[in-house]
Amino acid sequence: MSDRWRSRCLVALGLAIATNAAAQQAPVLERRLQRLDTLQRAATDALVRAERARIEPLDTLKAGSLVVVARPADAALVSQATIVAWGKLDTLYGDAAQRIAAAPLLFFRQGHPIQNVPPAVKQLQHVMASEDATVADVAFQLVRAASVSIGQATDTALTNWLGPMLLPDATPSVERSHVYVELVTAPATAVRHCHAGAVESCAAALGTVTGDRALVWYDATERRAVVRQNQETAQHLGLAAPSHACVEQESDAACLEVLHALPWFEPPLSTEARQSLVRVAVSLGGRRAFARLAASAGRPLSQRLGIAASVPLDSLVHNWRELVIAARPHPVTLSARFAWAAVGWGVVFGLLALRSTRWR
Amino acid sequence: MFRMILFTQWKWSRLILLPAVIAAFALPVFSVQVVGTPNQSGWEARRILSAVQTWGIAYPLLATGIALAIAMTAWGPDHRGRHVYALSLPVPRWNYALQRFGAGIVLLIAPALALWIGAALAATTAQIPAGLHAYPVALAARFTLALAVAYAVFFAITAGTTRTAGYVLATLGGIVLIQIFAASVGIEIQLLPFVSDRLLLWPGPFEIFSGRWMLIDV
Repeated sequence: MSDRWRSRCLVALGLAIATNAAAQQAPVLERRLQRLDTLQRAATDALVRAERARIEPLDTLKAGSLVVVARPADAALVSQATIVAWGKLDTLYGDAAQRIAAAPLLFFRQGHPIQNVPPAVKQLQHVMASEDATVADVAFQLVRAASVSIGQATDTALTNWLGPMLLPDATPSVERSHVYVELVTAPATAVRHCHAGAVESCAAALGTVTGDRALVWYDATERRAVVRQNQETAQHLGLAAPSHACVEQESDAACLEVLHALPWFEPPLSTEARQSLVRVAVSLGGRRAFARLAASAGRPLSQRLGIAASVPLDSLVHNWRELVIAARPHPVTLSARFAWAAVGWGVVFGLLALRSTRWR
Repeated sequence: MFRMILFTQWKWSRLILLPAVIAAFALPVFSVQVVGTPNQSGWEARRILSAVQTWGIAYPLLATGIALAIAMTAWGPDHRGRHVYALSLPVPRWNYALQRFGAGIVLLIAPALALWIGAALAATTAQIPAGLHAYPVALAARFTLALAVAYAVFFAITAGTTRTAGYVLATLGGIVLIQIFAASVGIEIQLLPFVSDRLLLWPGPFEIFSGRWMLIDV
C-alpha cells in the first residue's frame, strides 16, 4: 500500500472514529444537562423552602384603622395596646385617623429587630418598645408613630405652625396650665394683652393672623431683646450692622430689618399653646374637625382653624382663652391635707422621742 | 419648770438662733433681688420665676439645718452630763422630754417669724409684674411646718442612744449600699426610689419638703 493510500485510510478512520464519538457524546451530554437541570431546580426549591422557613411568622393586629404587625409572642400585648392607642387617636383625630390604615406599623422589642421578612413588611414604619414594656408603654409608642404618620400627611404650613406631631395623650388641663404660665411670662406685648383679655392679641400671639409679625407680637424693647437673642443668626445672614444698630444704638428700624430677614420667626406662644388651641378647635368641630383642618391647605390659618372648629376664629380663641385662664396652676402647694400630715408626723416623731431607749 | 428649760435651751442655742433668724429673714429678701430692676420689660416675669425657683431649694435646706441644730443643742448638755440632772428631777421622764421638745418648738418660732416678716417685706417692696403674685403667708406657713417636722425627727433621733442613731444611719446607709450593689451586678431593683417616694410623697413624713417653694408665682 502506498503512502498516499495509507494516509487516506488513516484520515477516513479518524473521521469515522470522531463522527462516532460525537454521535455517542451528544446524548450523554444531554442526559448530563438534564440531570444538572433537575439538580438546579431541586436546589432552587430547597433554597426557597429554606428562605420561607427563615422568614419570621408575623401577626397582624387591628383596632379601628390602626394596623400593627408584630411577632406572635408579642401579639397579646400589642393587641391590647393597639386598642388603647386607637381609642386615643380616634378621640383626637376623628375621621382623619382613618388615613393611618394605609400605613401599618411594624412592632418589635428593643434589641430584637425583625429582619427576615419580605421587603414590603420591612419597609413599614418601625415601632420599638423595651423588653419589659407594658401595655401603656406600647400604646404610647404606637400613638406617637401613628401621630407622626398623620402629621406627615398634612401640609407643611400646618406642620410648621403646629409642630411635627399633635399627640392625643396630652392631658388638656395640664397643657393649659403650662399655657397659663406662658401667658403670664412670655415676653411679648401681644401675650400680655391676651392675658388681659384682648382676644385679637391672643390670635396674634398664637401666630394665626397675618401682617407684620414683628410689629404685632412685640413692642420696640422686646424686638431689641429678640434681636439680641438672634445676633449670631443675624451675623450669618450678613446683618451684623443692623443687628449692632438695633442692640447698641436702639434703632427700631434696624431691629425690624433684622427680624424681617430671619428665616423663621416663632410666635411668642409656644407649640404647646398652639396645640392646645387645635385641641379646642377639634373638640368644638366634632369628628371631622381635624380632617377639615388638614383638607383646607392653602388658606390662611385663621380661616382653617375656623373651618375646623365650625365657629369663627374669634369665638374659638375666646373659648381657648377662657379654658387657659381657668387652668391657672395652684402656686404654693400648702393644702389642709399637707398641713395636717406635717402636724401628724411631728407628733409621731415627738412621741418616739418621749419613749427614748436611753432611759429604759 | 418649763420656763427654766426654755431659758436654758435659749442660752445653749442663742448663738445658733441668731444667724438662723438672720438667714430666714434674708432668704426671701434676697430671692426677689432680681425683681423691680430699672430694666422693666416683658422678659422680667420669666426671669423672676426662674430666680425665685432657684432660691426655692434654700427654704427646705434652711428649715432642715435650723431644726437639726436646735434638736442637737436641746439634748447636747444632757448627753454630756449623762442625764444625771434629768433623772434627778421629780418628774416622769416623758414629761421632761416633752418639755424639752416644747421648748425647742417655742425657739423655732423665731426663725419662722423672721421668714414670714422677710417674705412679707420682700413681697410688698418688689415690683411684681402683672400676672404674678406673691405668697408670703403660704410660704411662711410651709416653712414653719417643715421646721416642726424636721425638728421632731432630729429630736427623736438625738433623744435616743448613740446606738439608736447608729441603727437609723445604718438602715439608710444599707439601703444605699444595696442599691449600689444591685446596680453593679445588673439586678434591677428600685429600692432607693421606692423608699424616697414613700418618704417624700403623700402620706410620707417629708412631703412638706417636696414641691414648689415659690415666694412669687403665677
